[in-house]
Amino acid sequence: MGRIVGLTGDEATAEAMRQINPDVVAAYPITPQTETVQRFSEFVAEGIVATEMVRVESEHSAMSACVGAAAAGARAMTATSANGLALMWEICYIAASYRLPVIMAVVNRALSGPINIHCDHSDSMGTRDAGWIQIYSENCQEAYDNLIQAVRIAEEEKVRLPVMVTFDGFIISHAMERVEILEDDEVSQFIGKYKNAYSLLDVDSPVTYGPLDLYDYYFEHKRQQIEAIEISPEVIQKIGREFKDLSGRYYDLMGSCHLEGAELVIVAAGSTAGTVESVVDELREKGEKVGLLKIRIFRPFPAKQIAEALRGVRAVAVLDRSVSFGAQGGPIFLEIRSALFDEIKPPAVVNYIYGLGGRDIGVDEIERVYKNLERIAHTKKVDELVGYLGLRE
Amino acid sequence: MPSLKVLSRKKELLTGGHRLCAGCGASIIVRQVLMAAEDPVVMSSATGCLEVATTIYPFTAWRIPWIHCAFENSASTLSGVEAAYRSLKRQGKIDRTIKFIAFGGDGGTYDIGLQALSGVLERGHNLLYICYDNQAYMNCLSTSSLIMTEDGVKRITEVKEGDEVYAFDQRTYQLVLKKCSGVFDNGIKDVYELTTLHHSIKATANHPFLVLKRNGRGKKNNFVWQTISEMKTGDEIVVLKNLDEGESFKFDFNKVKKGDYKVNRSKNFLIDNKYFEIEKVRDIKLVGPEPTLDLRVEGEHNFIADGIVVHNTGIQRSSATPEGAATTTSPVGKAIPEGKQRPRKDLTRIAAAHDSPYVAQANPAYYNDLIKKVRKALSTEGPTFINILSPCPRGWRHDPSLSIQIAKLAVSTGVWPLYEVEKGQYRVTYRPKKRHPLREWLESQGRFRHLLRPENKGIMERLEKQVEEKEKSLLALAGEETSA
Repeated sequence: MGRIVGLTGDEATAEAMRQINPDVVAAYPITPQTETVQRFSEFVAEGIVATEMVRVESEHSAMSACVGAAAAGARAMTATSANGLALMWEICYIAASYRLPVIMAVVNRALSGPINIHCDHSDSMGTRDAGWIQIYSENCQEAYDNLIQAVRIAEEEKVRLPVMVTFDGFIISHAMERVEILEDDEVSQFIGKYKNAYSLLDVDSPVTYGPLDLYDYYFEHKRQQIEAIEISPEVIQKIGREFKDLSGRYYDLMGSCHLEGAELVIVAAGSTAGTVESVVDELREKGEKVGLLKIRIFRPFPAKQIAEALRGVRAVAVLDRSVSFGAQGGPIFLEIRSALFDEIKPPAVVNYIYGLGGRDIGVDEIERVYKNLERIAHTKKVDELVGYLGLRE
Repeated sequence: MPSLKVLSRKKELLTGGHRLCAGCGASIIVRQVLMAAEDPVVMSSATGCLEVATTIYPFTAWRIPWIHCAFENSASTLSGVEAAYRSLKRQGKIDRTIKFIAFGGDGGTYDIGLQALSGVLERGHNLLYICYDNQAYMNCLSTSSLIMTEDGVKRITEVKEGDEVYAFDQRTYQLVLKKCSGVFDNGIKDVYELTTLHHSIKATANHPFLVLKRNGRGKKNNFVWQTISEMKTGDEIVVLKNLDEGESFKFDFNKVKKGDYKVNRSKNFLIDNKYFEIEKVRDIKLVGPEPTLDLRVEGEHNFIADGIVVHNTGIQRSSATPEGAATTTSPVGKAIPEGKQRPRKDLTRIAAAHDSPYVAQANPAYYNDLIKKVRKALSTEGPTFINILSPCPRGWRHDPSLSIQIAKLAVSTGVWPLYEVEKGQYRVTYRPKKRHPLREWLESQGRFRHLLRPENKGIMERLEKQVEEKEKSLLALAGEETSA
């Protein structure tokens, strides 16, 4: 069994990275990810990790170096936020299409402009089509646990895809929480050794990475990539079970939910799920049939499991901490609504955009959402498909 | 150092069969560089001609581990590979000695990749960055012309000698199968673009098209072969219908008989023909000199190309383009008679300003000098940089057979001095006895032709002066006399 310590999200991430002990870390500082990189740099300076740390001149080069390192058979990691992730965008797609198991912690922060350093999910949601597996974490413990599992998921032979583990900027990254840390050797045993069968450093059997791939093959290669991410849920579940055996903490495709007998359900990702959970506990004590569905794996989206989990629910409110401008709602809403389309008796679904640029969301607002859901369930009428929480209008 | 004769016995690590143009400097440079390397090499390439032409999936011309990631990050991608090497070596997981070489063109190095290069030089990775500088954003020969063959539609580059290709029998207007007796590089020719409603084809002035000749009321119309130079807008030509790429298109030539060309008076000529229709020529325009491929076909000297030539437009100015050069984005016009108006960036000195232990400028025409520099760089601890001039027949507009001669001119006229900077110390590695007039360099290439006009005399003098001053400043850095 491990130790119980007080760590911020950034520190918990750095701690997980120390235990993973990657061969290469290439990173560039950006708020609110900075603490992770700073702390990890100390581990490098003290010589307690074997990592070659590449202090790059930009996030673009950070991801490029991770691509090079992973192709050379190294376990490669990085961490970033917001504009840093945006600068990596081009190379994120390349990492996924080369099937390189790069691991990245994304400390969610609003994208510019205007510039803002606080939390929303616009950065990671923007990369949702880049071909990465995306895991959202509610708190410091989940950030730590998810990062360790991510290594296994990414490196699984039939998956071989990069994985992004996200947690909320400042709210989690800078808040100290109780975190259970595994023993170092438990982690190293759990993740095992990384073996790239097509390493650039294997000079006796040279490989070519990144050839020009035109209309005669590109499509087939994209199909294979689709296949890889579609296979990943069973791998994620398998590794989740193994992680439970190790830590006692169980992770599935969806985060922990409160859906027993629930009629009115809120879907949320990140730290807000924790706030919702406390409201659910409170309202359930009063006998209200409310529930929570927490998003954990967003890519690939576990549509089938979510549709099943919401069967029998009367009304659903999806909370989105990002905007897809001009779309019919936030990214999570679009997925949920689409997942429910084939249901014989789908619940009414509404969307709330909240918390952009770090705008706080409180218990009151969540209670109001449940009230609205109750009205919708009762009247069977949706007045406003997409609404906003905590916005002055 | 062993002689070139000895070195050339080394196994080629960039195999033949890649698709770089004849006379392209990039492959010559790569071969010299790989000849120079004594240890196993892992290479990265930026997006560009070298990457595109050597690795069209499922083929690769590389016998060494090779990675291409994107346009601007050849340096940072390889820095990750090198970091992995260092890490794994330190952990005892690898014991080989491996060298690392990043390649980038001038666009991927001077412009979009400058930041990544600078980062790598500052961080002190143990790698050599080579810029093959062809002085603009160039593009490779189109390899996508589709040819009608017995086995369906093939790319022109896939047609081999001995393949059966469809041809028109010019006496009977019947389709006939003929043996291809060779694929030829026709070199740089003036190319015209002919556009119809659905098609567009690039071809040389002497390329024949099947043109409908309407002989007037009551008379039988017929087809004649006419070359582009004999054609005009409004002419009606025979084009292929429904050419779907990727779908095997089996040609049943027995069904296409002379009768299919029967002319009626309505507009829809060849109305029931499964394969052909008539379209009016909308536009014929001169595109300019471009390299061309041609097939030679037994008996009939024609073959059927689909006419959907997918060309990159290329030859845009970069910050490596010399002042006075005409490119597609710095064209010569009435208001701007000189082409590119700004001098080129001196990247070699920018690299040297990073205090890298070894920086050099080289040229494939001086292979001994080049190989020596590569060996020096690879045996130096830390980040090294070599800038190598790379002739581009397409972009510079010269005959492909003259590439090395023109590369030599760059040195003899002082345009591309050969020097190295070792631990901050500049040294000229080759100095021509007497500097030749700049005119010789400018005359050798189409991109400078406009500068030879009498009204541009002033520009030419200005450029000559620049070369002189640049030479002076280099010699001063190297502590040499400027007398020559």
